[in-house]
Amino acid sequence: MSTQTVLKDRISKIVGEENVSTSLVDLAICSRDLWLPYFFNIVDRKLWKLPDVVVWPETTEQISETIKLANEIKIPVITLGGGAGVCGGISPTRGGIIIDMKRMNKIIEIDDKSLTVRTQTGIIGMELEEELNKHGYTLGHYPLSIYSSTIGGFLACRSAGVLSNKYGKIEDMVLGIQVVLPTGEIIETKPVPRSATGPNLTQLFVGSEGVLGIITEATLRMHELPEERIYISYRLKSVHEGLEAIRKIFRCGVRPAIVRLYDEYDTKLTLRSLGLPAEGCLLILSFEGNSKLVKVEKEITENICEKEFKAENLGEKPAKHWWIHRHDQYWMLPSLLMGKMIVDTMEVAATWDKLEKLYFEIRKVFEKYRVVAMAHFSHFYQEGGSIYFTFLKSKEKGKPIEQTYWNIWNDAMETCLKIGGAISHHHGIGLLKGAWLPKYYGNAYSILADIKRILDPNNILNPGKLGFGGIDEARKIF
Amino acid sequence: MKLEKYSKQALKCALCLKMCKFVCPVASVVRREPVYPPNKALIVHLIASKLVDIDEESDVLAEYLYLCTTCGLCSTEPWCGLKISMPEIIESARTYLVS
Repeated sequence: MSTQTVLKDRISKIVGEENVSTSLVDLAICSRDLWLPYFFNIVDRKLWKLPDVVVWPETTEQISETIKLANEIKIPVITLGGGAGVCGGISPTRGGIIIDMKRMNKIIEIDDKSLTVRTQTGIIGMELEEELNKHGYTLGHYPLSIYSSTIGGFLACRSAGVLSNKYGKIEDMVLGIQVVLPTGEIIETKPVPRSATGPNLTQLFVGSEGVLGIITEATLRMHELPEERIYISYRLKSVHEGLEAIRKIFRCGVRPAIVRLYDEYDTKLTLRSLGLPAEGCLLILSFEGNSKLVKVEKEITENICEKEFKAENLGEKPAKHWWIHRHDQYWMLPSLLMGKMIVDTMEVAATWDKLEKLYFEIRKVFEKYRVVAMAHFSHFYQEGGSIYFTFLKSKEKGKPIEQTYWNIWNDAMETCLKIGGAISHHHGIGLLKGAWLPKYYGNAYSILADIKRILDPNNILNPGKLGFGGIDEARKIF
Repeated sequence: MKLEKYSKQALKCALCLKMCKFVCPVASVVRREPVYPPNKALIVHLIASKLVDIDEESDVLAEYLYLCTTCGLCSTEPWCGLKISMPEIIESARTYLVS
């Protein structure tokens, strides 16, 4: 019997015959995410590296038993959430078992008193949000992939939603988790508001991209639905002035939910579509929560923008329009991809002292490769923020597009490292950025490698990710 | 209904960011990645590209292509801005599979 047949037979005994498959259709569909090379493969009518088997468990115990089996056979296990990642984080580069988590979608408890929710992690973000809304609550986590990605995916990649300025990133929302370790052992971290009980093990697994464990349940912080949400928009003279205004707003302790500053290129596109003069840099903001607090936050922001920076008040329209139409930009993606155009995004972060430099230096990389690029700054903290570049590049005659793609990423990541920024703010590492992660950590990377070795002696969980596979493993996906 | 007529639409749908996953009444119950609408389009693309052997995979293909009520909810705005007609894609693939 082939390994695949043995695997299917053994896993059937754990999850039932109907919940395991070796069909090529299942293997292909459950092993790709939204990373550009997969799109190119689809357009080129080529398959990609496939796993050996796909499993649909319903309980943590079934995952545990599957992982124990994988250790016995020494075969990789990769976790699939919503498949909406953009870094190749679920690529089964060395074959193995794909665990599709979406049957693990039960909401276990909504605690009205503590404002927390306990849920299995295979639930899609909006499914959880809708249920919370029915009870008068919100998670406040609205990534653009909320309709397709799972809570487990958010946690595995340290996701950020568009309201993160007020509600935080997913790592700020998680109190405790249940994790299946790479040996199959099940552990729990306690859902407490804060603790002084040694290092925070919850945060060790959050962002570990399925490499250190599989997060099967999570207790998350929730909020009362806002009494009011208001929008406001401004035109500032430049990226510099826009960033300075935002820095001052945050220094005052004001926390808008949405803050998006568009650079001159992105502003042109956005304001033109609204029939407004396409000059300067557009800043859109929203405030939400208690009506009285919202009013005060808006007033402080108006003072800073209008009195200190002489910004032009554009009213609520551009901000509200963005919220309602925030997914529209993606409808042009398939046509661009069908023309084999590089269309990708890059999100980096830095403290205020480095943020502007990071933006202009990465812009130089795009200019060097004659790439069309635009950016917005959309997740802010008192200490700094993130930059989100969208870039496009047509195929050039005689130049392999893959080479161009890796050259752009290499130069941009090296630039980011040189300046001292984070090479990812919320998309994660996956295969795409693995080559630069050891440099980002410096000599501390050996600690990450040691943790991996201790927790996962057989290198079962998502091998080759978080920088453990190097650039060669990533390049093979094209 | 010819499969070729809808293969370009299927490809376009397979290259999208899967927002419609959330509204599919069947997938929300079955909860397997291949059952979500853009992945059904990818299945059709795999068939049209001859990347799957329809004889070998006939059971799985039939299962997934018939796990659709053709309600068309996934093809409505705001979930789909590509004017994809998923019911027609599915119907054409079913016809092809049966023939």
